[in-house]
Amino acid sequence: MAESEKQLLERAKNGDTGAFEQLIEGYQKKVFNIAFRMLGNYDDAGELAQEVFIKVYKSMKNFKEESSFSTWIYRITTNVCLDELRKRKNKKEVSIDEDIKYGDGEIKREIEDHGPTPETAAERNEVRKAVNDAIQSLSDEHKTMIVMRDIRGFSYEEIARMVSCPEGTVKSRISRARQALKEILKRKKELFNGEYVK
Amino acid sequence: MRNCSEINEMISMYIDDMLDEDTRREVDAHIDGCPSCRNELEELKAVLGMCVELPEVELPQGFGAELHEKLVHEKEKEDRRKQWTVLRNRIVKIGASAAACLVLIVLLQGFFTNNNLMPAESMTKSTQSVAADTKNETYDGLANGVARDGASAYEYKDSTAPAAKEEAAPQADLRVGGMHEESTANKSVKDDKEKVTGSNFNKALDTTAAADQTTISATVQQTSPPNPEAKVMFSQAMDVKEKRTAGVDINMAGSADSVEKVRICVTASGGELYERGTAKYGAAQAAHGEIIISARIPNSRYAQFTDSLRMAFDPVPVEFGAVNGENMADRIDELNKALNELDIKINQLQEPGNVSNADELARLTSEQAGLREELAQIEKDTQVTFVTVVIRQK
Repeated sequence: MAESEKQLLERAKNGDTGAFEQLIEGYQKKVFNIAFRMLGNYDDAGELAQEVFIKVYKSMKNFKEESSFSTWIYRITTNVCLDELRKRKNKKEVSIDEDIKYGDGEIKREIEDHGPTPETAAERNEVRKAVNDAIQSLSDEHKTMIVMRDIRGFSYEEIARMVSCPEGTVKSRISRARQALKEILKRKKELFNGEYVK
Repeated sequence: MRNCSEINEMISMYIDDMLDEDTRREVDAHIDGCPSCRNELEELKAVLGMCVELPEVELPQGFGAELHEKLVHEKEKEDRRKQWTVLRNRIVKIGASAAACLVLIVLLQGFFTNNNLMPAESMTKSTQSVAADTKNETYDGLANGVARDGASAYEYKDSTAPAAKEEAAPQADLRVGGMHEESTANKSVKDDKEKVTGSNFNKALDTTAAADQTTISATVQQTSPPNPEAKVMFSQAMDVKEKRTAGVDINMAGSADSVEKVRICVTASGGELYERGTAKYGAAQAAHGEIIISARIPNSRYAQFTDSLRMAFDPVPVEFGAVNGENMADRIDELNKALNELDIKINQLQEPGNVSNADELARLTSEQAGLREELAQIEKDTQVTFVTVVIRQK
């Protein structure tokens, strides 16, 4: 950890909110983006990201210097997002491999649950929308892998530490998550054939 | 020579360059000669390409400012909590010594009427052993009333003043037959940790029955060293409620035999497998040579569980991931707060004057039931460690 980061950390641990804000400044956008991709909703992501930083602030005393500060923050982020997703499903246990079936009832619920995908200028691209929708319909566990590995680009090792699993587990989860995502996108074949395969 | 389905499993790691040299060459070779696998590879690459391409979104307007507000608010709450803790310490001390005082006054009345004037000097030195003998179970009565309220007040954010039942004993130095208001232990109380000694007022209560002079005088003298067990009990009351998860990797091909071993270890540690994953998943994944087992192990026996796994699979290496603990205190607070609010609303609806809205009442009641269920579930969840065991040949 850089020397200045260490000093900020010490001050933050002693309740210096200014030092804390400096410390986490570089993480705000990243945490927000993780929450955004996990929840699929811009407003919710903002609230959740704030919740993450408050949690980090409150748990400062628990942070041990040996581990990496960023891994610690991202682990809290992952947990907060997964908790929120669980709450929304009213704690219905979704089996890991189950894709959401596209019956009428499910589609309706999906729209209600996740809200419309954001339509910033960059997102209007139909292809991106399809990918976003597909990611949202993955199981929580698979979604986490795709967001962490393929969207945010964390290494296998980092992800293993963030979700507290051995690296072996992470490898297989990533593999299955990607397969699941591919299957979902294949179902939207019309778009798939036309635009994706270049 | 590997077949297509085996290659397919490795495509993901192949793309990430996570295969060892030899395996990678095998996959290379196979893909060269196999159009369908090549197609799979290209499709997956395309999908991943789309993911990578997703843009990073800007923070919402005013994100930093809003966060700043919340942090300041949080800091204020914490400062107030610290002040409260100091205040509550004092109340506990007053309460404890007041309780002992009351008892003492009663005892000493009997004392003097029996013409048994015990000079202060003859107070026995047996308080040391008295203190040592005090067990947790005898930490009850008035002292407990105060202490327990104190402990529970500490756990919840909306702490209300504990019932300092033992009313205003002035914080003067009470020297009745050697009784001090502040024990040496109490003097060392830090801001946020309690070190209340249960021993002194404990024994005071015990001896009301026994009119034994020696015990009475032992009680009256107050030099007990800090009772470590009372300390432990107190800090347990303030124990952080955590949801613990951990992962385990066993480097071998999955088989019914290995599953059975894991099951035995789980059961022997007082744990249990849970449905999600085990049956359906285990069967489905056994085909790929990998098995994932989910179990709940009581926290106190987690170490035993890990040891038994190591022994059961020796010499096959068992890799243990770190235990991740998620603090549930906030969620518990939230739920309790919400339950309180619901209580108030429900009571209002049930008041005789009110035009009863049966639907609303039903909705609130079921919401309440849901929250209580969640609390109960958290309570259960924090007693165990959720373990995911993966049996897989690396």
